[in-house]
Amino acid sequence: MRGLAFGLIAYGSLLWESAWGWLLRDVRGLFAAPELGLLVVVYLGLCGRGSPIALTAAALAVGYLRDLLVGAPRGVEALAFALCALGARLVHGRVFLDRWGQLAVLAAAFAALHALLLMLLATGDASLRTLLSLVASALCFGPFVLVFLRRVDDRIAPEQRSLHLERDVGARWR
Amino acid sequence: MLSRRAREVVVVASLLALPILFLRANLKSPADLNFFDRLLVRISAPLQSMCGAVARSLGGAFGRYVHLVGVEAQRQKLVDDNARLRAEVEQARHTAERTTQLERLLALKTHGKVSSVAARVVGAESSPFFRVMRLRVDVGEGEVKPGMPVVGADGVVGRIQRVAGSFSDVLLAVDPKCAIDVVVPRTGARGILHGAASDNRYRARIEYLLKKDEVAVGDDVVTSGVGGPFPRDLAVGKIVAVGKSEVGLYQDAELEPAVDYGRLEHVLVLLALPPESITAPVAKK
Repeated sequence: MRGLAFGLIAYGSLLWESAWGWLLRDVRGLFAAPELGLLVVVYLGLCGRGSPIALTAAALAVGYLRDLLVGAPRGVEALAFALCALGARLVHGRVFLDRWGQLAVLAAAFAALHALLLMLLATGDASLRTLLSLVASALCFGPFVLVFLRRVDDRIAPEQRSLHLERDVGARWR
Repeated sequence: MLSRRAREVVVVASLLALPILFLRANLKSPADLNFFDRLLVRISAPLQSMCGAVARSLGGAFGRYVHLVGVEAQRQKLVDDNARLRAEVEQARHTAERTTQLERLLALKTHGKVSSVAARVVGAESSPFFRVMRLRVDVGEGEVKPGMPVVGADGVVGRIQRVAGSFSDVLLAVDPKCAIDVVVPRTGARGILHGAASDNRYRARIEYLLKKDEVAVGDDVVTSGVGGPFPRDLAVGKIVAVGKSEVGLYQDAELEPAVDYGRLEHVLVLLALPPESITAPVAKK
């Protein structure tokens, strides 16, 4: 149930991401579209549920879908998403996430990591301006998306949350 | 026996090798999509198109709202009339713009000796790292092939990157992976157009311009028709900056594309170029 719900959310996020180009066409130079699909896999890593294998597989699937939807060389986004998800899994339990500012900084950090991985894997070079606009976009939208996903997760599997919080007091989300 | 932790590490590492294999296969044949990929694209493209339509209408509504707030502050008594008239004018302007765009596309289609097919843009490019746009082309399967050039009413758009049924991805001319042989008609200077990497703006660079060839800001740039599928004299853009270094044989120029990619709705896919196709269909003066 949880897997299906997050699969649909990730798919919807990727579809919506591709529509942001139309929405932001008048301010394209100033503002990058938020990477919602990335935030979904980062959330899955941060909440620390399930095995790393399942997390990697989920991130690869979402990333591969993004490859197809944005027209990237197949495998690039899949690898970048998987590495970001594993990075989030490493962070899980090691940082406090009880304030919006902390969530924003974390979302921005993963947006920067994702952008750097793409530069490394696919494009070779990119402007600082692009990196900064992606980070700014994650700073603005990241906390909202992560809190929204947390609320969805609470609805779907509340019992897992309580178990999780007993084990890991660092990952408080509200 | 491996511990559970070690097993997990091995499996995760194996999973991470998968996208590297995909990437390797993609580098060998970027246009090939397997059955599963084509199925996903076919399912997703109409949904992307629907999301795009919603976003377009939201963006339009937001723009109109901002305009109306300004009008309301200035002319409170006439706000109702103003709103109605402005909406009508806006609608008429959009219709006129679209009609003009379609007329120019039609002129290009009928005037040129190039066999072409009209297509509608259903997905704007959404990543600054990959300048790719999705089209819906309603022709028989197999007619549109990777590598075919795509042009808009204002000039070069890009080339088909991959095809899934009636949906095609276009690698835009402003993508760093796209290379087009171009010429400055004023002086005859020739160079290679590359997209400027990963900037949110649509910019491109012309490389390998000989230093002895004169180029200046404001010069028009068109396709040369050499070494690629694009016919000669298609408008590409205008030079906005010229960079000359002390050493080397070449100079670079920065180019602003003739096509406004953010507002592109209809394009033509050039299906086949006759040998003598090197005529001038577009070149906007």
